[in-house]
Amino acid sequence: MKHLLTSLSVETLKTRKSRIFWITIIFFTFVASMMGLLMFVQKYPEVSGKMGMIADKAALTKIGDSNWQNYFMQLLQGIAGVGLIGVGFVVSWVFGREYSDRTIKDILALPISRTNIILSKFIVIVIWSLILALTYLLTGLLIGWLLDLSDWSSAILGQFLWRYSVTTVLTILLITPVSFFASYSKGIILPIGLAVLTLILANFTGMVGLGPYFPWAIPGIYAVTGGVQLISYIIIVTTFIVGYIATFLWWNKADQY
Amino acid sequence: MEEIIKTQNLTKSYGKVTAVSDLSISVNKGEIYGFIGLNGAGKTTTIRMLLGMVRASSGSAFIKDTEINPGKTEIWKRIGYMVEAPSHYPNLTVRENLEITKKLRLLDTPHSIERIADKLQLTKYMDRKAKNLSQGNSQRLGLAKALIHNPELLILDEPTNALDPAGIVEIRNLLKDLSHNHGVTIFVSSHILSEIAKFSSRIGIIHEGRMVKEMNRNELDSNCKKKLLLGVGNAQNAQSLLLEKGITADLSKENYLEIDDTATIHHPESIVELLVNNGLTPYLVQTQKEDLEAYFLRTINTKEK
Repeated sequence: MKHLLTSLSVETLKTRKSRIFWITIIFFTFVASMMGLLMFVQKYPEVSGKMGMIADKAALTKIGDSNWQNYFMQLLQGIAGVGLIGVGFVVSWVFGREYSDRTIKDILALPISRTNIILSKFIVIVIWSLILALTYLLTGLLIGWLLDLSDWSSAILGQFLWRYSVTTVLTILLITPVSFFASYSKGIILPIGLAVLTLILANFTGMVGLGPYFPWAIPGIYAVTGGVQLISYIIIVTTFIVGYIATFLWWNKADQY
Repeated sequence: MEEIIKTQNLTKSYGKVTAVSDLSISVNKGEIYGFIGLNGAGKTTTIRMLLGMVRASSGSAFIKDTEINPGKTEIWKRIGYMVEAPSHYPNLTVRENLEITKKLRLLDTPHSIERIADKLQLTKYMDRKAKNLSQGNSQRLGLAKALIHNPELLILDEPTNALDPAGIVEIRNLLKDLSHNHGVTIFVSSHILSEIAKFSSRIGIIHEGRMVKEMNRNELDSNCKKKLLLGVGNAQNAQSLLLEKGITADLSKENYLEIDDTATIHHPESIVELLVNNGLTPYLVQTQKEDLEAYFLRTINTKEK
């Protein structure tokens, strides 16, 4: 346990001191702000006429009236997409940068086991992802409050927070395949590519009705519908376990150079 | 003598390519073992196998009687290493990079960072980001990370790369000091024999994955060929005269006569007398020792033939 905490403090230092950490926070704040901007445009159509493409986008994404319920739905759709990319990027960076910066060789022959190193990386990724989710949530709520949206109720908020939390957890469970690809490809580019590809495939499988069986489509389906079939939960947990084992085996068994 | 490193028929193949073949090495406590080879000879692969980063295809490697295995962590407590060019977290300062190494080495000695920074003359760069270090200082930081926990065994891959001449001397003296005064065992690879020969107690030459020669410092000296160099006005006449007396002399590009007969090298006065008596007084008589690079290349070429 002491070794894990030591490794965790090292991973935390690396993350805290990186510019990428702050860039992702700014990015998630920006995306949440965009969701607010779309709601603003929908709420004030007289202004939206002057906003060109943003007005068009707002018209496309318009769910209904400019109230809290619809705004929350917009936020959920947003996190389902940006969450996959954001978390995929975080995992790619945490694992892949050790290879791209060639620092991997410094963390292989240590008194701390490689398993502890991997675990501490996963813990940092989860904390980082939760911070991003919280950033998005708080920015979204603040903008919603500034927009003075109608039909606020604690029941609507509670339902939203539950959906938001489950969507976040389901998205975070998808970190392990990306960590394996980052380790396997020894870099950042391929796992980021994978994260983008999974988002495209998630949309595609959703369109052809295979979404509940494609792990990366499941958080999005949950965000929109508020529930998925049992098989979807099984698939997502299995994906997590397989990805974790693959990452663990790669670090402990494969040649590292 | 306590054996610190031992490999038995260590072999690593990548598909059909054999990077290291049947390598058996033994390094005793306190030795500086110089591991020499051309680029691609198998030095780094061997080091990676010693550090458990790469699995051997066959054979085994032991450090202090413990077989190398990535799962065994205890053994790494007393080992410092630097593989290939040093790499650091670019956006972290020198101090933070050392802080990370200190933590990962489970070191709780106070002032260990300041001590090692001082030893490697990094003190004034402590707050500089690693990405802004010169190549030489980056190399020093790599060495500092390898040495921060006062290891019993130091495994270094080309440690003087990128250092200026003063830096090379400094590192050489540091390694000598660690070995002679602190009993640290050092396994150091390089492609420059002349550099390694200056401080190694034993040398192994690896070529195309195989150990072609292993010797101690004295054997290296005696293995380097000597020759007698004669500068004579009429070199061709002198060469014919010597041949008549049964002494073979080659004519160099510089028009010197080169004799590698051991007896003649040890007693050049007889040959000088012969030349003088025949009106071919030499203006240069010099015993020349084969330089280490030439010896290294000769050893490799002999093995290839």
